[in-house]
Amino acid sequence: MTLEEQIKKTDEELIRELQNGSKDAFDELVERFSAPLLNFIARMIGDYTIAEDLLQETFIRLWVKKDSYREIAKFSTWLYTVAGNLAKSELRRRRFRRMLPLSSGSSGFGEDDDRCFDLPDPNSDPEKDHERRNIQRRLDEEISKLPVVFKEIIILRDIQELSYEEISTILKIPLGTVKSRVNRARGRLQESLKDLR
Amino acid sequence: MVTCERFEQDYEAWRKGELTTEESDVFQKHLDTCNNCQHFAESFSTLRQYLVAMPQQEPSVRFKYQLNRKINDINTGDYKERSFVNVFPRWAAVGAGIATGFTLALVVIILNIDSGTNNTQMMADKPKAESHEQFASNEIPDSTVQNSDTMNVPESNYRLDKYSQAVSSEY
Repeated sequence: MTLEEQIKKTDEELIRELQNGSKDAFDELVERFSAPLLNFIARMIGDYTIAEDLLQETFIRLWVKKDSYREIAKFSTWLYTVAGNLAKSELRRRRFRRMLPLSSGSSGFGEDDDRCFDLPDPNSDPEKDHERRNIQRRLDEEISKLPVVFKEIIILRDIQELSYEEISTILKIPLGTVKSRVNRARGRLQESLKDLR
Repeated sequence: MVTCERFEQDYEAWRKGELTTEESDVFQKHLDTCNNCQHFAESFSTLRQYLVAMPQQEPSVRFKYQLNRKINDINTGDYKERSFVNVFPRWAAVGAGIATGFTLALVVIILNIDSGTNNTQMMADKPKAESHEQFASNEIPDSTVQNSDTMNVPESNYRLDKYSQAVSSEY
């Protein structure tokens, strides 16, 4: 099977192939979901290094428990549920140990982070870039300060851009609750970022 | 008629064109006349703009290599589940926490009871406060004399000591 054919397949077709033992299907799913899941987990826990460990754990669970997936829900929501549960467990474990406050100094997304988000544009204005980075860092900080219920919902809706229905399935809460929670989370963010405007 | 609350709730759907034409018209009219909702719409747009533009990061280069190595380990049966801390069941951790808390509370209670008994004993042994007049008239309560006797302290020294204590506590 060519790479192009593999890319055209839906997630559900790929998981079916994975259930039949295809490693290629697994690799393609990893390719598709690595970045969005990493960013989801990282923003939930505020640390990219641990987020990568949890991402690995998510894919290991996918490999080990691939047969437990039933096609009653979208594959993406199933995988997000697994990743979200791991992130929440990590947050609980941290709260329990009180090891590390989520917003201590660098939120894990700072300038000193040696990972590069994107290549610098040679035509870009350094001043504007600096301002943009500051806003993004501030936004990250404010998101990390939100209670978990608001944090996960704002990440899923406004950063990952999932639909209300998908979020409702992932978080196992009614559609109406999702909508009202999104509004409340946005309200809190708007309130805390007043000075940016 | 649209309330501000309803406007804020369905603003996103309205922007995406998910409302009916009639509803959209009503929303537009409300937005044209309501300062509060105009401010909301503006700040909502700015926030959405920032959030959507949040950078998305890729996993590190070694991520896929490490993942594949672990998958191979699972397939060959060499994969060690996880560390002790992770495997340690939550109920056991909670139980251990409760037991430790209970033990600490017990120790604190025992220490308190012990020191409480000593304090009561000391209070019982302590002579009652004497007035300047008693000292001046050289009348010493029997109990004081008794106690000074049992402690083998010379009576004059003891009286002087008690007097200085009483004066210092008063001033």
